[in-house]
Amino acid sequence: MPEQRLDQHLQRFYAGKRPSEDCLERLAALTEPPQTPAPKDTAPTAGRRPAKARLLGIAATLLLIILGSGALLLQHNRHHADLTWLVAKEIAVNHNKRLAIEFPASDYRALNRMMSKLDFSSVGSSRLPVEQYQLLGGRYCSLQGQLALQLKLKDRAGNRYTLYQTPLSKTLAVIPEGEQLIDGLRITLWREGGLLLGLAGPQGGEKEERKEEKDSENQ
Amino acid sequence: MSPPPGDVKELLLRGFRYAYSLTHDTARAEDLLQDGWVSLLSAGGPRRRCYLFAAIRSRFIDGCRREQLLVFESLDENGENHIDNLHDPHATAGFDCDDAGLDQALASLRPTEREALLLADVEGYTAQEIAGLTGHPRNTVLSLIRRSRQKLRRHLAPPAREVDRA
Repeated sequence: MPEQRLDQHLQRFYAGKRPSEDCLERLAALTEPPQTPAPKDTAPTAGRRPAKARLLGIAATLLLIILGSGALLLQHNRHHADLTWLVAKEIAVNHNKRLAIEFPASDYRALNRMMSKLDFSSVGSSRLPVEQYQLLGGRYCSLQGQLALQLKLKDRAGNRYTLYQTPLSKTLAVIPEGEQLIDGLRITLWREGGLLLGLAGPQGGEKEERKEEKDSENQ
Repeated sequence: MSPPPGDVKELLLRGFRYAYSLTHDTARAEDLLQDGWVSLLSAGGPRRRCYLFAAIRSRFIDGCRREQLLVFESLDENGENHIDNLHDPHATAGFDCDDAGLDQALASLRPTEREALLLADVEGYTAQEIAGLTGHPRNTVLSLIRRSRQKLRRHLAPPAREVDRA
């Protein structure tokens, strides 16, 4: 029966297709929740005394309402924390892929000309002065499924960074500015020029840079 | 409640195979799986096969539009690609091939054809379920599956048979 044989061929063929173990582990790790303080477990209801049952019932109801409101508030905040963590984690994963530069460029204007598929213009961030962070080039990527730009930078100490830029959509607008330490990297997120920017680099990179600056100032 | 880690990996493996059916390239399939997975997690969607497949499919179409690739051609029911207009000289012929031969044959199909074959013959989706995922009418999906199987058979059939028939 050829039809059955074709099915079997296809099943055997696709059963042999797997992503790399590294990729599988990375993606499975994305489901690990961020470390946020969990709400304390409360409301044990066993062992009520019959005489005070009604009062205790009212108190428990009130407590549940208060806890419910608190949980809703916590969940709302946690959603933002989850999204921030997911974006930071995605940046770390992309950084660690160490993909090659597709568009070598030393200045943003030249890069914008080459990367014509972008529906936004890349910006040279005020936080990353060109005299300290040398642009090496860029490539297309995505953040949370939306088109993004990955830039490769090098600081004076030779540390390599990847900078991500993507338009500040309604979803991403809730992400607060800040830093996270993920997979041995320092991920810094901030907003600038209508874009969300994320910088991935070594954890000690900035400190080394500042130390270098101080040394040169003293000299 | 989160599924156990083993289930997550099994889901990711299925997602990868689906992404592979669309891209027919391991590196691109990994990227696509990552995009779809992150999108599913950030949307807080259920960690289930159909949701992951839908997220992957959506990312794939976005990517093709971005690259301006025409990979999802119209599935016309009466045009030159229609099943009735495709002659399959080896409909009843058997074939034997290794994975490399099948890989080559699958590479010659369109993403939408590979997708239909994977969903129907590997994942066990019904035509109605495929229609739900892809947004095509059920009859079109049935034609697509049949046509894709025929195309694949033609690629897998030994060339000597064609000479014999001629």
